[in-house]
Amino acid sequence: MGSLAVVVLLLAVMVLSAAGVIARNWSEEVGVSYAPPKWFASTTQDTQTQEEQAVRKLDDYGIPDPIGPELAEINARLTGGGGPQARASTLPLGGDKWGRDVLRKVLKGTEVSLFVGITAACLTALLGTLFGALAGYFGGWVDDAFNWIYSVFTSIPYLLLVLAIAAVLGHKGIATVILILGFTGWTGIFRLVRAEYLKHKVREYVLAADAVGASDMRRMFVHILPNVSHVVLVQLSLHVVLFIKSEVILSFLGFGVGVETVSWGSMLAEAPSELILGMWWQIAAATAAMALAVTAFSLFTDAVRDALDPRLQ
Amino acid sequence: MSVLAVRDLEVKFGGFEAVKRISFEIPEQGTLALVGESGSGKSITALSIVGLLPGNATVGGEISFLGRRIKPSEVRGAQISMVFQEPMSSLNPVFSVGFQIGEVLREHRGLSRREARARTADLLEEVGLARERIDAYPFQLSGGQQQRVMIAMAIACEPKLLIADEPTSALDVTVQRQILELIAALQARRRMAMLFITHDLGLVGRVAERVAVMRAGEIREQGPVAEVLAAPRDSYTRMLLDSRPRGIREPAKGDTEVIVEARGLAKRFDDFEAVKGASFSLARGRTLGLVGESGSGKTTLGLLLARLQRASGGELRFHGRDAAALPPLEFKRRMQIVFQNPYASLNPRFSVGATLTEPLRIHAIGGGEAERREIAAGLLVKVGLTREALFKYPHEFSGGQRQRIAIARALALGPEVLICDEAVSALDVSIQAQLLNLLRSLQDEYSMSYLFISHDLAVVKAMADEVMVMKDGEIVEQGTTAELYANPKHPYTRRLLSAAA
Amino acid sequence: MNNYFLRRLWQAVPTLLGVLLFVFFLFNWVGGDPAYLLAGKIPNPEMIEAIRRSLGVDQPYWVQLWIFVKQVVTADFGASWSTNERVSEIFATRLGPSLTVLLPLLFISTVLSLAAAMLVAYVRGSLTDRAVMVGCTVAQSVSILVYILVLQYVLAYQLGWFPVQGWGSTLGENLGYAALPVLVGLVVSLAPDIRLYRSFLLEEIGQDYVRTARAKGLSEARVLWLHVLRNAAIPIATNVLIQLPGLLAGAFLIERFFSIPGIGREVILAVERSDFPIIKAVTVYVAMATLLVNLLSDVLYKALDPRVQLK
Repeated sequence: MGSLAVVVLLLAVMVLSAAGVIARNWSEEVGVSYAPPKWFASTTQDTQTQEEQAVRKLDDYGIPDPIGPELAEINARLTGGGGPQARASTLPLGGDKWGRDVLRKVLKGTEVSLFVGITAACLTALLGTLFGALAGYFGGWVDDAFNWIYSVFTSIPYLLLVLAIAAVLGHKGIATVILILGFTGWTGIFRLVRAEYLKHKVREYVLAADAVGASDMRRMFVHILPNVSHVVLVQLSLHVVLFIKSEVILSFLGFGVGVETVSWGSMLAEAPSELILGMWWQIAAATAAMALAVTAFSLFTDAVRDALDPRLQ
Repeated sequence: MSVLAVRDLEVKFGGFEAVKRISFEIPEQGTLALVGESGSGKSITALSIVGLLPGNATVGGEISFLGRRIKPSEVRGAQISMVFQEPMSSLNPVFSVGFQIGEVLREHRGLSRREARARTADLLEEVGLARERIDAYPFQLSGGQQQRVMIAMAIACEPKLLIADEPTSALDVTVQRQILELIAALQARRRMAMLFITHDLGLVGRVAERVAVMRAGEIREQGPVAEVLAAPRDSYTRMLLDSRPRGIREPAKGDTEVIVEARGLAKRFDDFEAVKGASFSLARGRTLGLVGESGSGKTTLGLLLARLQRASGGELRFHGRDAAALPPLEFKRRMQIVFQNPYASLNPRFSVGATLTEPLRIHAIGGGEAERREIAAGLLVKVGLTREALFKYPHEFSGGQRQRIAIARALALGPEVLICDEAVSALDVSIQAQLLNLLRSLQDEYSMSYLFISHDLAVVKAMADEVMVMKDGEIVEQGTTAELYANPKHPYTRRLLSAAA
Repeated sequence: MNNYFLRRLWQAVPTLLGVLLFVFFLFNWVGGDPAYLLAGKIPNPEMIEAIRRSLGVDQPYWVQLWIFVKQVVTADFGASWSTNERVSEIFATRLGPSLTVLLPLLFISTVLSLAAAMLVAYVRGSLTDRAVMVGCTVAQSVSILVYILVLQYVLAYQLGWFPVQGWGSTLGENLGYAALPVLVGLVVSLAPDIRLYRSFLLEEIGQDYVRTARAKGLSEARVLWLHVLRNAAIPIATNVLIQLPGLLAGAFLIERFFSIPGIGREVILAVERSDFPIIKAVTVYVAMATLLVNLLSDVLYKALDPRVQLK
């Protein structure tokens, strides 16, 4: 039941973030470049360099900007003295290269990654269930046609398929990612739902429905589908996990969400250059959030699967 | 001295008492039959003797083997061995039967691989299998042959006690008899004692000297077989004896109109002919029995009659008209079916009310939902349930009650013909009797014609006016019940009847 | 047996045609004129024009399809759009490094995860079992990217136990370079495999024949290691085989970060540079490999399960 609580919490974060209640200004550069996390900085010996850090801006090679202080002065004069707000020297979970608050980024990233994962999973579940039902119930040429499409899709390894499509479509944002994931991931659900329909089609309760005059559509969706729903639910949950992980990889490679928004994947994309400089907090935050979400969903899936197992009923 | 002495045996699963302090003894070389319906605790008793209960079971009481308290894990396989009900799933599918039999010898007798193989071949011969089958895999053998393999495994180390848990229940009638004879012969030759577990009181007389009747974890009565069967003292035992289908149906008087006529009905699946040209007729208010073993095609024939399977050949006439020409809904209204498996014939996600009102809605019977629910409630009462059942789900009912609901559903459209496809075969004997009575009274009330399909000859004898015997897709004999049971003409019919006697 | 092979190969043809159609549809129709995609990446306008001509973007689709089919049949997909190296060359030289990482990985991963699954199945229901399962769940929740980045950073960069990246010229050198990538691959694949194999084993433990084996007086160890394992070996072995084509493509992240000149890295680079010939060729070849592997796994299934009749 703990997993259910975590899942609900994450969904709440997603909704709140989407509504703009939290993490709205995630892209504001409120901290200094690579501001360390509050609790970490206070434990290091580095306290004497805190003021220097406040003024220094590091570039990609870890070299401080030689004319940094002068630029800051010019900026201040140009913007009429108000200048850039005083940058925080530490942030709750640290800051990235541009001084953006990692905490806010993680929350916003939670929204985006979860949204993509859940929406794509729903799309894929819809397609897989529909195709599986039609193929399993009608058999014959309908089944052959769907099986052909299935074998074409499954002869290409999943990640390769996703990347190939992404390469062709280019970088187009969240909707594209959802569509790519949704239209490639249906094969697993299809196979399972089809097997269930093959099994149930010859069960006596379906024959009995036929005997009293129920139509094919009715038998497929009113009689059999509720008995198959537990399989679909478990698969749905599993695919949320799969798609969250896939979105991370896509965004990392630059084929996922655009630069105007942030996801765990785009946070991880900044990691390689950060790690070289010893700045570990962004990758830690993104990984922790992702691990929490995926673990919670996985445990939740296991619990759902055990609860709905017809053998235990 | 007795081979096995059980005193105050108690088995609990959590708070549930499966076996409530029972005691019995099995004399040396003697046979005790343990009889009970499903849920009586008889299998659990057997499993507790060999220590094969699941982990959450707590066992109390005393089990003495040859006078000593035993540790089950030490004696099983060698001194006490067991034969189970379902031979197909009880054998390991990926090892040859020779390997599985030889394994027991190598484990307990320390034989080398070659010695074990030689002994195994001997054992195969002893149980009536050809020696060459030593390398066969289980799936290559028939049910009866598989059970012989199980028996060979069980007697390999010359046990003092053989526990047989429903060894023939999953087998066809003709095979059942052979296996029972085999077990009896082996028992005599090897001087084994036997604990024979069954739900079928009819078998007890052939197999055992003593019998114990179990119900809900208790032994209601035990004693010598002849005594218990002739003069039972316990009310439950009496009821069990009375529930066995007995007697023969009263011959019908006069003629009634023919409702259904089948000529040359056939069904083939790819290259397998399930039904090869069946011809029969069904008259109003009459019951036509259809008897056969598994694989005979009788279920397929029932489905053909209900037009749930499309026939590959032949014709079906309904009131003289071609059934195929009738609009499907019209046909379905007149012809209904009740299936065998009470756990699969009701949609587990539909409430009973939804299951019963569905046919009414599809056929536009009743002016609205409320009226349909009233009709459904009436049907439930008619089959012996209450209207509260409308709001419940199938899993809340027992097997017998579910069959009643299935019958209610079949009645909903007021059919002229009802096909009962092994409708009572999956039920306990006492429940069977109740449902057969229900079917009889409904037939009288509604003048329905029945096609009564079953493998149980006694049941068919008590229910049917005319009987057809089916084997390998063909109807080998048909006639009135009295004629067929008294003077069977076809050799297969004769074999069937003698096996069941 | 030969009949069976031929028949299955013949049955694979429609699927292969489907793959070709799909790849064509994706890259020639949806992808269309790649000029705008390449404009930023290839500064040479004559080269872009040459590409457009070879692709036949102004030609009707059936001409383009014919060109593509010819390419597949002759196994000549032309040249990479970015490096101008012949695609067949690329494949020939990159296959070796990929296999140097993948084969040890597959072998070690299978052995370890099977051993772990068997141990866990033996103590099923205990605290150890549940702890391992939860551990696997958590381990699976971390992205492969994180494993790569962190392990590379900590074990190679900080502690210097492994080379950070690179590749050599002899097999001996390369095994050294392959060590950390294999380790990363192990860490990623162990958790899901342990869970899967455990479920196969537990499924078998619940079967009736296990009860019979115990009734025969066999020890619990013999029941598990011989009777159960032999049955569970069927789905496990077929699962291992099925992983092959997926591994080929899935290692691309590992190859990319460890600069291993394998096929996976080529794919990633090709995807980043919109280098269609390479992606097309890889997709087609991997699809063929998958179909072949499916065929092999059916044969393996038959070898392991006497109930299966090849038809």
